[in-house]
Amino acid sequence: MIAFAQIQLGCGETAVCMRCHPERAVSMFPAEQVVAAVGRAAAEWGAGPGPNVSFVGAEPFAHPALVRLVNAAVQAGCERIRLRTDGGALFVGGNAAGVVQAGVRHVELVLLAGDSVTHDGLADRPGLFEAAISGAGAFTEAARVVGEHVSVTGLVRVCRHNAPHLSSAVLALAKAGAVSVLVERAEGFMLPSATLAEALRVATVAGVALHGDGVSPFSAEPWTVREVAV
Amino acid sequence: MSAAQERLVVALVGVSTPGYRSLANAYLRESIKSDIRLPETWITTPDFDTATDPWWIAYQILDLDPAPDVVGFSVVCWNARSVFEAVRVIKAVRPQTYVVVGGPEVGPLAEDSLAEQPGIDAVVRGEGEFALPDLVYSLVRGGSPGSTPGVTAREGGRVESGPSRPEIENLDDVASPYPPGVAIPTDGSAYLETYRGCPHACAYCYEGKGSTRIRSFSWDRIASDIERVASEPGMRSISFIDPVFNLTTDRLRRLSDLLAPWADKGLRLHTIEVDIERIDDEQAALLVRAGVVSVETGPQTVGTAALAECRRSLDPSRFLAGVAACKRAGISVECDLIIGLPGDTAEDALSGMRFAFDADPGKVQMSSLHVLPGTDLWVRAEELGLVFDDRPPHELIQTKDMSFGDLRRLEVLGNAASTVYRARLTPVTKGLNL
Ligand code: SF4
Repeated sequence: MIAFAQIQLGCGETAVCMRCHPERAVSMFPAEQVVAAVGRAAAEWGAGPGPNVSFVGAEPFAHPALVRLVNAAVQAGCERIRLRTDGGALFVGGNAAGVVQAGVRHVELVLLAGDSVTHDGLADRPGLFEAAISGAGAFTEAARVVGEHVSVTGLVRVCRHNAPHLSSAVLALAKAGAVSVLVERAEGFMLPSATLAEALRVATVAGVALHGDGVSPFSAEPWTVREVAV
Repeated sequence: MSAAQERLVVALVGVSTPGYRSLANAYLRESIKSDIRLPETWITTPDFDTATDPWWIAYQILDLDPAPDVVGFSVVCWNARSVFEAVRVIKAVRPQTYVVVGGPEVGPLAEDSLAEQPGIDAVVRGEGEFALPDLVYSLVRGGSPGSTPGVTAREGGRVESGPSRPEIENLDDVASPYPPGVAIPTDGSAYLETYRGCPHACAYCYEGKGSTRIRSFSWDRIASDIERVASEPGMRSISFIDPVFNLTTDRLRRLSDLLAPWADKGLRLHTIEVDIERIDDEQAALLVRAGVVSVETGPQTVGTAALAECRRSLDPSRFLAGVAACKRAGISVECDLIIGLPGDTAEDALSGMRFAFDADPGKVQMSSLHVLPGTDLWVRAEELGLVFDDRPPHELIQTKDMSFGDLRRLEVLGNAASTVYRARLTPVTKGLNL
């Protein structure tokens, strides 16, 4: 329906399970490379709503040239600019208002669980859960103040460590204003169908569209993703 | 109220979507005021929105001074629960108040409404501009409300129905809701209509009511209503409630001629209902000249079975050409989809979403079917396998082809996709950046 071109900002995804990835290394791609990828994504955009880009691959607020990258997307004619973030930086200072002002209209919030003890423990980042929830609120409030429409969506990466927390993570994202949640299974991990079914029930009752591998066919594909090499 | 009263106080209460005022009540107010049999009638038309607590509505009606002898409500599926609750409280406090209701939620179900709502005394069936003054006159002279044409009313312990009233033949006989010299209560916008009826007869819609007959106001009347509304100080926009604003190119041209001088002064028309498949560059230019900034249209569904069941047609290429013509002209388009039409599967609903978003109209609005009284689907619900809430707003529960769970998941998916679609940079907002 609505496609986003995924642009990698670097390596070392944001808010991952540190028990699965104890040696996670983070590195950022040079701004020029990312800007070039944005340009290609916009230039090659076909029919349908867009161009739309989603910055993924590393925590965007950790990229030293985030403002420049967002500006490049605006200049390239992108209509929808999304940041995949752990949300921690959104609540800091004027970051939320700043990204709205710069042109970001979408935030994809990554959670590992629906409570601070589990989430912060798995991410090995004390205080991250509360900051993420507050950050999502700050983003929507910043947009409301300037009269802009924005969306918050969610991502839950499920592995053997947090599978029992999938439903609570979905609920927390719903409370943070997410309209959809993507469920991404860790490589090789078989998510029990009962866990997924329960998460789908919780999501539907909370008014959230759950999508991802193996989720009900009517919940799949609210938007598609096009990978763009950096 | 007493058996016969020379002078009546009438309150016509609007309970509308936030930001709107009841056009129906303005028509009814002027119809009563212009009726020479009712010179002593005093009328007030308080407006509330659907978010207002019904007890608060009742409080304000009961607090009116002088206290109303007759309280009228125009009832649609969206406000019915509020209205019924407010009526219950009003009657509990002042049982002598005569409560009359009309509108699509109660008109087609007059006897049922009286049976289910003991606080209601009378129901006006169909158009009210002549039926309501007749009913009020009957109350003034102590006559029999239940024998009034177009009215069903309590008479003693019984319910009586007057004969049906034909549709108003000459709409110019209906008093204008905007008489000269009377200030228009407005937040900068007002409703107008240029005709009644619809050239289509969609099975889920009350507007068509199985007939495709159109009754138009005269051009003189249309011109004077536009002049009256547009010249009101502070008026910034007009919403036309015509089911199809671009009925024909000739008609659109005449409307455009009438509206262009006001559009040049900044008056704008928002969310005008159009038949998008008729819009080419010529029609789009006429819409712009008339001040139109946004239009609303279907397709409601792309499923062939549902289209046939609902007596609708869709030519996808003409639809897309119409959207493109509007966009070239700078007109924003809202595409509407109804989830759960009979004949549609969940896959059809997804195809409809893909079609609407691929058209990139500007806004996509999705809602589940409401099975409304008086519509073809209401009558045929059982045969079609539609299970719906019999209490207003009559939400769909499930269909033969879509389970309860499918419908709810499609609703949340539709909401998510619309939200993501709508959150975007526009040429205006792009100016904010950098
Ligand atoms: S849905 Fe629109 S086009 Fe169809 S009958 Fe109703 S008003 Fe007419």
